[in-house]
Amino acid sequence: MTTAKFPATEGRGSGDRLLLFAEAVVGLLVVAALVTKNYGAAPTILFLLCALALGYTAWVGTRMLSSLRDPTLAVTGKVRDFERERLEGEKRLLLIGIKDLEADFGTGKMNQTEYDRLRSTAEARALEIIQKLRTSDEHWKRQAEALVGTRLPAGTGPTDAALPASQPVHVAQAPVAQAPAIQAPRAQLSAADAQVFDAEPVSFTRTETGLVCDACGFENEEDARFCAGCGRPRAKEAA
Amino acid sequence: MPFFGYLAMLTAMVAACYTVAVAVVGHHHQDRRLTTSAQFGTYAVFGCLSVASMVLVYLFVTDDYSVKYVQHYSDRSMPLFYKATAFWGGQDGSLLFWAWVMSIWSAVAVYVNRHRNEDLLPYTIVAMMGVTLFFTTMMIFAANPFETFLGGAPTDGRGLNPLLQNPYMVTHPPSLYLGYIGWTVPFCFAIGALVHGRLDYGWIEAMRGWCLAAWVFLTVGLVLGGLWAYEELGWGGYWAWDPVENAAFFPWLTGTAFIHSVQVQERRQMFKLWNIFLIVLTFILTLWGTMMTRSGIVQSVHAFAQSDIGNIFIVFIAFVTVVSIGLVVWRLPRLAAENRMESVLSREFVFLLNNWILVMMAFFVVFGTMFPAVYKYFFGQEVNVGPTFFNLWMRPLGLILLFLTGVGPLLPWRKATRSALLKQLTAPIAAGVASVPFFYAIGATEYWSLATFALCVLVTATIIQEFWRGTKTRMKNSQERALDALLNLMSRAKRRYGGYIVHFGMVLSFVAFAGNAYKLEDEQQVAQGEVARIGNYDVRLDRLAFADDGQKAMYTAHLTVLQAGTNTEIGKLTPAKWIYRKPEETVSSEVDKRMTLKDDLYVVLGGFDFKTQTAALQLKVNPLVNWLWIGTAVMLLGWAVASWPARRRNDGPVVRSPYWVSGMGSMFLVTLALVASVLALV
Repeated sequence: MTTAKFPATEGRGSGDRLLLFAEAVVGLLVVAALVTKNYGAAPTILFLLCALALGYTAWVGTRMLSSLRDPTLAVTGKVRDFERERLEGEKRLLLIGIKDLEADFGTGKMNQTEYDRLRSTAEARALEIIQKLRTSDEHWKRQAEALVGTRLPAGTGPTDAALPASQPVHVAQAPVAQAPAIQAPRAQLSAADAQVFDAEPVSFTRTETGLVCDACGFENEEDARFCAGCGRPRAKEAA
Repeated sequence: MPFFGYLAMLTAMVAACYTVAVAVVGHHHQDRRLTTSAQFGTYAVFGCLSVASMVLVYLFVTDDYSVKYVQHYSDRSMPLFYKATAFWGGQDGSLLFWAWVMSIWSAVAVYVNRHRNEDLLPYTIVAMMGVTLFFTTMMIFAANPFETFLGGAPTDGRGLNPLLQNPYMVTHPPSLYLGYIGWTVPFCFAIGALVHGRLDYGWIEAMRGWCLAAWVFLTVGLVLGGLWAYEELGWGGYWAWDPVENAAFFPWLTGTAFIHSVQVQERRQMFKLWNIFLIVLTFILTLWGTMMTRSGIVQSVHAFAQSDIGNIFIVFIAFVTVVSIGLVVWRLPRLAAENRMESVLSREFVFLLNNWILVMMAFFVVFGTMFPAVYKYFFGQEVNVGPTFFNLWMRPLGLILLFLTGVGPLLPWRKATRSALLKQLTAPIAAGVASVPFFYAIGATEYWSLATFALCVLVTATIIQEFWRGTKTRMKNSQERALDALLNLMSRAKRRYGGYIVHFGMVLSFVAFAGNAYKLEDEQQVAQGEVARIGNYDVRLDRLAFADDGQKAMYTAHLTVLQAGTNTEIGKLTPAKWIYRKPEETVSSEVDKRMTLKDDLYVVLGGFDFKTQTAALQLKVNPLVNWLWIGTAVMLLGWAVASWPARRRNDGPVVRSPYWVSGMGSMFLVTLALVASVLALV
């Protein structure tokens, strides 16, 4: 049984493609001129729009069918760290929630005690998530180094290696480190935790787009009190 | 050419079937080749339906009367612009327009979410393509817009209903459809989330922007429809609780509840079941409204002709309901709230009340709209449910909603202390109460309108208070000047302050509603040079004129408006009667009005005798009506502030919101409205 062959982009030079495109445009313009002569401007515009839609449909239709045989997509199983994305999403919501708390407190909707309690709970959870993400980053970095190490002969760089053809990659879920129990004051973290999560204040550098953390390079809001990237508190700026 | 259009629709149907199949298999086998193919299948369906739509418009523009649909809704004397927009003037074409817009939204949704919500996408695509498949299949088998005459084709068409040859009717259907169909995308994401089981905030974050876009398009569509009714129907009002108007209002009510309720899930991980219920209900109501206008179940000036496709819609609605309920029951454990409501003095409780009020309003409107049809079915008698019933329920519920609009933003999440609550509410309530004697003194003696004005003052005071306190806090913390502090405040919290601006727009709309209580109406016969008085206006008939543009005969009354009791001229009006040659001597009343912020003087030319130069003038004074249009513009501004794209961050893939889609869409609609108005006048 012969398999249908779809127009492949490999093997066709850019010159060929340009010529094909030029031929199509010329043909379209000839027909458009005939339509204009007989019917006028409005039908011609619609005819061209119709032709554009047809061309687009043909292109996506080709892609739709060629995707079935695309070797770069021959990956099964989970290829994304959904747990990480969930944590990133939760962190984003916590930061929005902290901003809301500040706004509500600033406009007198809650008292100091309640504000402090809610804010420290939200901050603690955000810091816990940041720590988990850092742990996950360390894990992936070690996995990537190990994978590169197994593929490369000793002493050679990446460009010298004959990398194997694409094979299905099965990605194991990254273990998420057991976080310490939620603690409101950051100073109570153990020494082991401090190796991963540094509670020392860090200064921010002002750039055109915002405030960049000097430790991790994350871009923070103007009035951020701690870095949303690494969790370190912002150092007080000199007067 | 018609066959080419039909072929494009058929190809769209086949592509949709293919897309559904590969999406399901690809999701279950976790095969990216299949899921990627499904994404491109969505784009291909959009391409095919675009071809079909362009072909139909081409047939209109080239006067191809071999096609029945073109012959029914166009004629040679129609202006080019109305020929093109007759695309959605009838049932079959409007179904194609529905399917095309659905394919546009689907393609954009897939493109925007192709990386960040890859896990949800397959079954979301299944749901979107399922809906598109329903419409394309219905068109192919029951409502084909490309059907041709078997014998000789007529040489001219019947023409479009003159009531539809109006700039607002050009922009109202697209906006309404964009809103209606816009709610389909969040529904499909909800289905995708239910099937996948990922029911955290992720799916809501993915389509929150779509909800705002759909809401704003539906709002604009409703208001444009009101503007059309005000301009064209000649009865002096903009909302008559007509069944087809109500059909667009049901999903607006539940959609409004949804966009508020999702905030509770965002902040407190509560109301998960409520949110699923609201989005499913909104989608079902959009289908129900679409069915109502096409089945002949309800009689309305807006309705399409009676047809059998109503039964097909009912079957589809039943199918959607059963599937949705089944998925919700299956995933019930994952829809449990993660937190409890701690106090009734909390924002969560206000949102809960808000949900109940809006759902109740939707229920009453659906009940009142469907009651005549149901009663006739069971008892064989015609009954009428008019504005009296709707106003009986909508007024108190609307006022409660207005009150919640003011009070809600003043409460914090979780729990408010009594002292904080007192501090927040004192000034606005004092302002509202103090305004009552003022409004009474200037003539607002009707109780409902007086209560409305007082609540409008209360809500406005809360909004001003929020802006003031927020700016003051920012000035103190950041050492900024007042204007800088205000702008940075709005920039940092776009959703919050954009929402306040939208609320202010609602307040202005309620002011217009309250003005209805003081309408004046009269009908007077005048001869040339005579004056008719209504309220503070004298209207003098100068002359009756006749003109003909080939499409219609136009009889115009030239009037001068004077300050009552004086000779001070304050305006000129030209109401007219147009008698169209096609369709068959149709008569339309062209009203004219003098618009001010205080009121509109609205004049309709009734009967007339051209020879004796006498005319019967229907005169109306509509107080405060223009605040409705201004309020809508303010709501649009608020939505634009709330939807402004966030600044790009360096923490990974850009969370690019689809707000730009709705921004572009709104700009397109505004441009279309302006162009339509100019072309109609030329």
